[in-house]
Amino acid sequence: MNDIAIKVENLVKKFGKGNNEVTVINGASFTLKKGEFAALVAPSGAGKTTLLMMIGCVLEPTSGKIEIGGEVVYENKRTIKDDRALRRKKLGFIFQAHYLIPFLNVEENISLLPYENGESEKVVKPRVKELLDYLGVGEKLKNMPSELSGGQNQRVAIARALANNPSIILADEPTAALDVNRSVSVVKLLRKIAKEKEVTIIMVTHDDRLLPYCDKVLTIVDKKIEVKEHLEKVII
Amino acid sequence: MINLAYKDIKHSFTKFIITAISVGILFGIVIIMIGVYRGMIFDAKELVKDIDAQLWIVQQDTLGPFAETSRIHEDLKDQISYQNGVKYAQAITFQNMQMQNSYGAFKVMLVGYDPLGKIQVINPNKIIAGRALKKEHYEIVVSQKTHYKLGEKIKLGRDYYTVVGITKNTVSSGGDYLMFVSLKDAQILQFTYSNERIRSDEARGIKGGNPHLVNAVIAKIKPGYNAKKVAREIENSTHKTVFTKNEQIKLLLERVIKKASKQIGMFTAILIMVSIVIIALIIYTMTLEKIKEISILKLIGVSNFVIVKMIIEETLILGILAFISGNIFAHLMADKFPKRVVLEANDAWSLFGVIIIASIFASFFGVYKVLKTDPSEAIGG
Repeated sequence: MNDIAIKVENLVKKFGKGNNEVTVINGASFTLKKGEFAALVAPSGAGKTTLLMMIGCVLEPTSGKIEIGGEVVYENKRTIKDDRALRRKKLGFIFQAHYLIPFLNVEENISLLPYENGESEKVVKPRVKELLDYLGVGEKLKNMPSELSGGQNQRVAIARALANNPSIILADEPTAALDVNRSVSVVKLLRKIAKEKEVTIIMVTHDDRLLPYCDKVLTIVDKKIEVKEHLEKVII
Repeated sequence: MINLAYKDIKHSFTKFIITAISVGILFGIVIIMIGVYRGMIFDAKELVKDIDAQLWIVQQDTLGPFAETSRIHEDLKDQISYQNGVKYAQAITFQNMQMQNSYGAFKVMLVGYDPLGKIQVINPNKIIAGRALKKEHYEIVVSQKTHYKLGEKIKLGRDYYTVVGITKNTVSSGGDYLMFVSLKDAQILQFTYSNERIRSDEARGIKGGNPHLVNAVIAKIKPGYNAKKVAREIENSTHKTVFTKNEQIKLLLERVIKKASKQIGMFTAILIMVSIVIIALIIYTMTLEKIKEISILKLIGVSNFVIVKMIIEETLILGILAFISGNIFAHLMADKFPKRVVLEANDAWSLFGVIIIASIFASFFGVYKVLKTDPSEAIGG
């Protein structure tokens, strides 16, 4: 039971009302364990980002149940008081674009959440340096995002997602803005993070070439989730 | 902890400073307007304060000599001198004139007084060159702002007057520059008509004007006497209206400049409101420019407190910088105004308080936007 990082049961999300009502997700269920790296695939507009945002407590589902690390965060209604505190403490986000805060340098972008979680400078500073070294951008600590390349910024964004020691990372097409080589490099890195740091990662992607790097592939079919496991793995 | 406001300002420093200076100029105008208001009040009291008299005796049932026209006979001064409690009394005239010299046209108030009298009409501390009048004819003391020089001859009426003294900061209740001549000269200038007018009057059967009129008699009282009591006694025995110094000042403030000062006060209040609206709009626009970053911050879990703090801090810093630049602007500009602008520290601090409260109020627009921002806007979901 303790191994389960994400549990989604019969999740439904509808937008609009009356004649304008649109059901995007209708009875999605799946489970991910700690350290699992899952891809979420579906055609555009099928509800990938919607599902990701529901798991991240950004969007409220219409019905169903979501558990994060054993804690029920939604069961036909929101069951947690402070969704932002949950995101701050347990979740990490990576987006299509890096979305770093332009007026903060690399170090500040990464250390913002840990500081807000009440961690001290003594603890945060070495961790940020360690993370950046781990992601291969250690020398960019004091640079502004505008001074970095797209790939470097994406690595900093990954570092930011990891800075609060999250148990889950939700990555919305993190490789969409990168070329093939960089995409593979980022996905390899995410896999490495999942395995070494026991972080569960859900990565939305359109790129089939990246699927073999994942433990599971979650596909939205008919507004439900189909789970495929044991894909032909690429040796990393 | 990272101070987001400081980081954001540092990132767009030039833009922020230019914005603060622009708002500061607006505040500078507010400070100057308050200074103009203070200047009006200051000017209104200045002449009465400078003249070393405790009583003003004017035409009966008038509020003279400033709020209403007053004409009384010069020899009334002798009668006043013998009143119980009066130490000295002397006659005085006031006359508005338009002057022109190489610096342009300007309005002056010509004050006529007895140079040999015992009441000081010109405040000696305000004579910056030369001296007060000593002779009964053809001498003049002028305000520095008229640009006349010592020894220069000025033609007034039919005669030339030599500048024997120059004063600083001597103005009428309306802020016009002052020029001082002897009472006899002033009476000639004010009450003696041209030859043509005299001939015309004679043709109408009007014989000879009376040049021995003055606008007021001023008096000093003996030590131990109550100015109000002496004033009432003079009123009863002379059928004239008498004001104490304080009553005269009150008259000037309440009757002469009340409307003008109210007008400036209202204009200042409107300017303050406009400034608040402008700050609110600037903060709202600055918040809109950061809306993507704000939604990202909210999405990744940064609390509203941290984001709202950034908005409020930026607003306060903008307000404070605007206040500082406004003060600098006001002090640089104040001397360039034709009339007195009195910049008082108390007014500046009061405005500072208003700006701080207004800035917090103005930041509510930005804060409202922050609270309403949907974190899913960060990813367009």
